Amino acid sequence: MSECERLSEQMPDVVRGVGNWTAGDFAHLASCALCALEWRLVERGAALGADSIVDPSAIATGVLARLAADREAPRVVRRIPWRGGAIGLVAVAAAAILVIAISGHPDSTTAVPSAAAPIAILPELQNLSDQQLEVVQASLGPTAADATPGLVPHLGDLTESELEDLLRSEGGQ
Amino acid sequence: MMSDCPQTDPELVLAWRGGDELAARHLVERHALALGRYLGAAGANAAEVDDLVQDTFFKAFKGLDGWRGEGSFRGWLFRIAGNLLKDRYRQQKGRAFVPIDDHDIADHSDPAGEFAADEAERRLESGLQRLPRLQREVFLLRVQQGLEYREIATAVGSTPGAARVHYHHAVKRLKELLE
Repeated sequence: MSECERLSEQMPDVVRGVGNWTAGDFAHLASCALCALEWRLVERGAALGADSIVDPSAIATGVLARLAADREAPRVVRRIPWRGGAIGLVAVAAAAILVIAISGHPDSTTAVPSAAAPIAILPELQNLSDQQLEVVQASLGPTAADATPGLVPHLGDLTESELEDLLRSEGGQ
Repeated sequence: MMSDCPQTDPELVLAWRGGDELAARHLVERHALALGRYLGAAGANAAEVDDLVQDTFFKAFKGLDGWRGEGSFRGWLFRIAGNLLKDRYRQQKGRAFVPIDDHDIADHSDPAGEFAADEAERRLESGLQRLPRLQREVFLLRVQQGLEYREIATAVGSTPGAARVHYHHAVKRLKELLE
């Protein structure tokens, strides 16, 4: 490493007071125009923005306020009154679709060897008698699954009335 | 106001993760001024430096999981700040940067004498804006902020060796511009 390169590496540290120039370094800076130019460049560079008007305390207050507001944001979403109902509706609808799909499948009676699968899908149906189950199924009305066995209907395919029937059937009526 | 908190950055980060708001305040007060100086010198308009500094800390605290303590917290802050500045620059298509006028460039008459005047600082700022972004940022991080190449590598997403090369290229080009 040449003397110019060595001084160049040291300049950022020396300008910040981390190191010092030796007498030999001063002599080199006095005799080498390029090193002298670089030293002045580094001195000026270190001083850039020294008059910055950023107020750290105000910045801290602003950041903490934004973080607090950000933490509050999810709670606002939870307070939406119909959100719980909507989640319940979606859950009921999903369960109903599974029931329809199973009951509408041509091999459903042989494909499900025991009551284990229905229990896992909708446990409350387990407490209903065969007659009650038929009532539930009848209340659903004809579905796409009935027309084309094996296909799972989409909620979007059901009418308002059918959706109401679905909800009523899940109410255990 | 500078923070006189004796705790290290990793200690404060840990405390903040545990819910200590004062720790976050100490971190901001410790680094905000340096970030402001850096962003201003890197080309941000004075009017938007405050916002950029605040955005930097907000993103940093929100994404603390992304900092695993491998590099310095300070280097990581500079990385976020640099990315924000880059985004701002792209959004505004360069209007965020100080415009360069022809008379800002050195006239080669008396380099040493030029540096003695306030004009030299303005010329240096103009010269910085002529550098490629990476060279400009590395130069400022090394000279203005006093970061080691290891920290600079964290800040610019590079290696210490590459950061050293960028620094020397920046110095060489600035000397050519200011000679």
